[in-house]
Amino acid sequence: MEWSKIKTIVIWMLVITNLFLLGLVVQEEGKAQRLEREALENTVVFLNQRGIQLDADVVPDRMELVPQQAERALEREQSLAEALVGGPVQVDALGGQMYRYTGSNGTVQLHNDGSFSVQLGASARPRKGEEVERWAKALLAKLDFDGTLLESSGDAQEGYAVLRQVWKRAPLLNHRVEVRWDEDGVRLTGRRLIGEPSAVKDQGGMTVPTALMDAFTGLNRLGDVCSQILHIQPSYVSLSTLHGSTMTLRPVWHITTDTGVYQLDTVSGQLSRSAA
Amino acid sequence: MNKRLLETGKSLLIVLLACSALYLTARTQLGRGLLSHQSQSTSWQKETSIGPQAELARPARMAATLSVGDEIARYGVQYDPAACDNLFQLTARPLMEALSCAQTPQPIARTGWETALNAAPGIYFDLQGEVPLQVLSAWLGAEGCALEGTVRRLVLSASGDGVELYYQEAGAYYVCAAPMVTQSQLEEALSGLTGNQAQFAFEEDSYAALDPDTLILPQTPSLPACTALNPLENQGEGSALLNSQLSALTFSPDTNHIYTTSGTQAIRSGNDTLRLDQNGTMTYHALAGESSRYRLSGRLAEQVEECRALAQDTVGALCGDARLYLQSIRQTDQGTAVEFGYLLHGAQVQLGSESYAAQFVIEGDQLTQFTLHYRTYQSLPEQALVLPEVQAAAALQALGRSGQELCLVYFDSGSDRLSPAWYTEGGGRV
Repeated sequence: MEWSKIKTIVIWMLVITNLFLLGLVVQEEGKAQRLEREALENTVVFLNQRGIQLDADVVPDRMELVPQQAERALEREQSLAEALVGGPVQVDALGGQMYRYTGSNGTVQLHNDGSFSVQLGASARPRKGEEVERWAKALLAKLDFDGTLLESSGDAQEGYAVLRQVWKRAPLLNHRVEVRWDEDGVRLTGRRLIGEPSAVKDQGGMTVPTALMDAFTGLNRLGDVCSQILHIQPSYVSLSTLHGSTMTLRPVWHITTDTGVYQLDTVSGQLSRSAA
Repeated sequence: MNKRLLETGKSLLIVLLACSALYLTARTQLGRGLLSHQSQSTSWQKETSIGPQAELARPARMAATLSVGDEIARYGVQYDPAACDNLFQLTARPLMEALSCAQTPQPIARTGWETALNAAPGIYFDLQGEVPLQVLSAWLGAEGCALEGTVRRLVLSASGDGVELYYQEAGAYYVCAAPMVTQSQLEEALSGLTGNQAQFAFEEDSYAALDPDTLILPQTPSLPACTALNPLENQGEGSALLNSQLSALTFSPDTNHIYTTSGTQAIRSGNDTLRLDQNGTMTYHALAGESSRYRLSGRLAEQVEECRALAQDTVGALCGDARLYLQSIRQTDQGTAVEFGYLLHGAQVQLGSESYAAQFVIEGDQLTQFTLHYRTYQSLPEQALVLPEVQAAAALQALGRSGQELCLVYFDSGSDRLSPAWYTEGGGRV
C-alpha cells in the first residue's frame, strides 16, 4: 500500500481519536464544574443552617492563588537604592544580612525579611498640589513596591500615608509601608518583597468548599461566633527564614465577618484571628 | 512538487494530531491518574522559620510586654514548648538583628532590668542554660556580634525611639543599643498577642520569697507524667540502632571490635574505645597522645557547634518527647566541659546525681572525653498533679530557702515513670 494512503488512514484515525478525547474532556470538565458548584451550594446551605449567612457573590469562584517563593536579589537592591536616593551609594553590610546603602540624598536599609527603612532629604517631599497617593506610589515604585493606599493625611509640607503591597492583584497582608514627610525629609518604613516570586510546584491547594468548612471549623475551635461573612479577600502572607534568603508567600483568605476579622491559611486550613 | 508538499502537509498534520491526542489524553481523568503515579509528589514542607541551626537557641520560657491603649499587658509562656516555639519564631529575627548590631554594653542596676521588663513593646527570653553570646549569635546567624559573656536571660525592649538589648551575666546587668532594630519590628512580631496576666516574682508580693525573675502564670502549670527507658538496652553487636549511634560517633560498624565485660559493652576502634553500660551511659576517653579522633576547630563557638551536632545526632536523636538544650560551658581541671541537658515539656530533667544528658570535655583543639546518658521519654495521657505555685513558694519560704528560683523538674532516677515536681535552682525538691 502506498505511504500516502497509509498516512491518510492514520490522519482519519487520529481525527476520530481527537474527537472522542475532546468529547471525553468536555464531558469530564462539565461534570467537575457541576460537582464543584453543587459542593459549594451545599456548603453555603450548611453554613446558613448553622446561623452563618453568606452571599454567593462573596465567595471566590476558585482558588487562584498558589504558594510562591522569592529569592533575595542583592544586586537589584543596590540598583533600587540608587534609584531611590538619586545617585551612587556606598554599601555597608551591617551583619545579620542587613545592608545599608548611603547616598548623597539619603539612606536605604534593607533586611533579609523584606523589612526596610529609608530616609530621604526634604527634596523628596511631594510637590505643592501633587496628589499624595500618586506621589507615594511613584516613590515606592522605585523599590519595586506596587501598592494600594490604605490611609493618608496632610499636605505637601507634612503628612503621612500608609500603603499595602499588592502582587498580581493579590494583597500581601503583612507588607505595609508607612511614608512620613515633614521639613526634615521623607521617611519610609515597612516590608516589601525581596525578589520576584515564582510558584512552588506540585502544591495542590484546597477547594473553595473545603476552605469554607475549614473556616467554620476554625471559628468553632477559637470559640468565636458570627452571623454573617461579609467579605473574603484572597491574599498572601509572607514568611521569611531566619537564615537563608528566601521569602515564602502563603495564600490566605482574609475573611471579614460581622464580629471580627480572620485569616484562613488555604494550604494548612488553619484559621487565626487577624488585625483588621 | 505539489505531491511532495501534500505529503509534507500530511506528515505535519499527523504530528499535530498526535500531539493533540496526547494533550487531550493528559486532560482526561485517566491521563491525570497516570501522570500522578509517574511524577514524584513533593509535599509542602513545613516552614521552619528559625531553621535547624537555631534549634538549641529556643528559649524554655518567654514573655512579651504589650501596649494595650495606655496600659501594659504581659503574655508569658513556659512549660509549653509549642507555644514557646511559636513565639520564638515570631521574635527570633529581631533578636538576631539586635545581636548583630549590638553596641558596647553598659552596666546597669537591677532597677534598669526591671524597667526593661515593663517597657512595651518588649520581649523576654529565658534560655534556661548559660549560653555564650558568641555561640547564641552563631546559632541565630547574627554575623558581626561583638558581645562577649555568657547569658541565660535577655530582653529586647523599646527605649525612647529605639530598641535596646538587655542581658544578665554573672549576676550583673547590661544594656546595649540595637540601632538596626525598630520598635515597629517588635510591635509587628507581637501583633496578635494578648496578655495572659503573666508576672515576674518581683512584681507580686505573694512571690517575694522567690528569685525575682521567676515567671509566674495565673494557672498552675499542667504537665503530663512520662515514661523513661534506656533506648540502647539489649542492643548488642550488629544491632541497627547501636550501629547508627556508633556511626554518629564516627566509629564505623565495619571496623569495630565489641566485647562485653561486667555488663559493659566496650567498642574498640583503633586506639579509641567507647563503653556502654547497662544504664544506657556511653563514655569515651581518648588515650593521651594516641588518638587523632574528634579534632575540633579553634574557636569556642565552632567547638560548641560541633559538640551540639554530636549531641543531637546521638542522645538528641533518641530522646523521644524531650529535646536538648545547652546547659553550661565551664572550665574544669581536664578542660572545657560543654554540657547539654534534656528539656521535657519545657521542664528540666534531672538525671540521677547529674543534670546533663551529654557532657563533652575539650582540651585544646580536641574532644578528649564525653559522657552520653541515653534516655527516651514518652508522655502519658494523664496529667501529673503539681502543687500550685503560690503554695510551693510558701513552702520554699518555710524551708528557709528564700530567693531561689522555683521550677518544675522531672527527676529521672532510672525508674520507668516520671512526674514533675517543684525544685529550686540549687537542686532541692520543695
